[in-house]
Amino acid sequence: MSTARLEQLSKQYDGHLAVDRINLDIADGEFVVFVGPSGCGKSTTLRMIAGLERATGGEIWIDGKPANHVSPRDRDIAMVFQNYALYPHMTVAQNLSYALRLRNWSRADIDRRVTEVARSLDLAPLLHRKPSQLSGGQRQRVALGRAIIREPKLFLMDEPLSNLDAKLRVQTRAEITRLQRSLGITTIYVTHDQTEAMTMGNKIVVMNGGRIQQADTPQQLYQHPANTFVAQFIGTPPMNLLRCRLEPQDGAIVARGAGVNIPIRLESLTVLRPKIRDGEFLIGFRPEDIVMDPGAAGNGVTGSADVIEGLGHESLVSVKEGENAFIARMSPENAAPIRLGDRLSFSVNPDRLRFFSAESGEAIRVP
Amino acid sequence: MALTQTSARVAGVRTVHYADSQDRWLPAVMVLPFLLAITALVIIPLLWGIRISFTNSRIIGRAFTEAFTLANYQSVLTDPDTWHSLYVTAVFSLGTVIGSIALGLVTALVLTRAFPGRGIVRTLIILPWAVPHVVAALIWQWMYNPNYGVVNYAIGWIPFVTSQPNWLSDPNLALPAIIILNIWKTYPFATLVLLAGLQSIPDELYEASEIDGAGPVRRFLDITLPGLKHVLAIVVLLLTIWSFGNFVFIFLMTQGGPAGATNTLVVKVYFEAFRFFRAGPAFAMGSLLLLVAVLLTLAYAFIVRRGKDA
Repeated sequence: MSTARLEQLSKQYDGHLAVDRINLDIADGEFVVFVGPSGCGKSTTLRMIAGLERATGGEIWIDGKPANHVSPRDRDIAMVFQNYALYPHMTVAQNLSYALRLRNWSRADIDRRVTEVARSLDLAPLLHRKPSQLSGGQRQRVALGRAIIREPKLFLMDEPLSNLDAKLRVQTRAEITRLQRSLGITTIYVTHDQTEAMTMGNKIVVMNGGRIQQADTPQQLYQHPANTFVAQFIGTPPMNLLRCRLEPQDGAIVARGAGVNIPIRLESLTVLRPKIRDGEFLIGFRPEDIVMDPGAAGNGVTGSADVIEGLGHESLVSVKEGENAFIARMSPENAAPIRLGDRLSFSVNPDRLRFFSAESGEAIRVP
Repeated sequence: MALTQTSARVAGVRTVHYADSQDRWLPAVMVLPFLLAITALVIIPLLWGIRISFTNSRIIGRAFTEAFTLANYQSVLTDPDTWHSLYVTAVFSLGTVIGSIALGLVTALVLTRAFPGRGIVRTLIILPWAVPHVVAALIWQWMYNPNYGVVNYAIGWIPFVTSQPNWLSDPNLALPAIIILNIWKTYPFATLVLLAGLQSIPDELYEASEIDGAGPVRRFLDITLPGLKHVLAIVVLLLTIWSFGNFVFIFLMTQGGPAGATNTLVVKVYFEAFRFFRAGPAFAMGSLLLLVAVLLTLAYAFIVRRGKDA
């Protein structure tokens, strides 16, 4: 049971800032997922929390105590590595019990605890095998077992699923989530896979270029991305972002750009206008928030079909118009008659429209 | 399902078989010259020598006219000098192996850490290995010289030590002196192989054990040593084989003396054959040495193969 706090945490390598003054509060029992493209600083941050890398600036607090100068072995944390890092010459049982043996637990206590953990992870029949005799999924479970066996303050996981095949990854994802919820141990999990992040975390920290872009619940992240990076990083396919300007039309104000003609509500305008003045801005919407509507020509988004991808349960239609392009998610039945090059019109759910500054990429929140 | 699996397996076997028969002869032809050379220069003389060891021949070349006898083996195995030589050989080999590996391991551990000039040090450290045996022996003979050698000169700097040992003429010091030379000559090899072994241990293992609560000593015992186990076994065996057969250092520096203090088995075999011209006992002893060398080599092959499977 424990909390963690990062204050202005930074890491500099030979003049390059890998992690740039990040601040984060992690509550007791929370499952926090760091997600971002490779090189965004997420693993470095995790390794600083573990004590494997020294912070070049800022503070790490674990359980309200400063941890910067505490060695990894004294931080009372457990870590699952990408390549599992199982001790190759030890059996599964020895791998599991290593930390306990180092802490001079009694033989009986160790045996009891190993049995418990082995049972909870289905490892009982494998206890006497060496890691080289295990499958990828089994090794993964041993690595998890080694982490949970001593009930640490913090659980750190560095891309633990990336070496598993797709099917096993989905299974293990659920397994880890279940385990974390039942043990209630504060967990920090690093991944580059946004699906993993969305399905597992209570709180997701999206990082890019060494900075936190947004730290929020999965729902908020998806519905209200803080900037265009988050909008495009979270969600497959990503949020559509189209360039447009505000223009008057028939006594109202519309957002107009290549293939875009969307009326803007008055209350939104009062916020939007001062921020963008008469310049360009980006209008954003998720692929599922538009509906094909042949009558919407002057009141939504239009363009010609460019690519059609059938996924079985749904179809993704890419539409292009001038400098703008967007993707529409629809049922296979609706997508069936569409041919490449067809002119398509969609109406947009006005509640789901998002606005971003064209220069900074920051979201402009409107009522 | 079962049927398709079986046919797939059969098809797989057939493909392998095709590739096999096409290039089967090429590798064999490529190694043929080497095989012929080995046969002419090693295998035939070896068999010849073994044959002589079972005769009373004093002159090399008349082996097949002599009657079969076990007398050579009997005299060799009952001769206390043989057992003394075996003892000297064992001390020489064991001393070299322990010293070379200890020094090599420390050097390798230092060289895995990043420090300025590491690349240059890594290159320089190989030098003793690159120096020819004869040159090394001459250099060290000079260094050990009681009157103007650098070793005694250095000892003169130690306070309260006044003795100037006569390294190669003192029966108690000659063997240690040559062991030190042999360690100096072989530890670069141990360093290189152990360094490669150290680098093959993933950093993650050290990190995992650190987080699990292991300090530096435990990390060395639980991660480094087990990770080097296989490489260490190979180094031990190779150093043993080489020390066992080392002739040049002892022959050049002490000729087995003083008073037999450095008379290893190979040196003894040489003197039996070429100084006393006792071909029979020499070849008998040589055959026994060969047996030991073969056993060591088999052990080496076994370890290498097991390492490949793991």
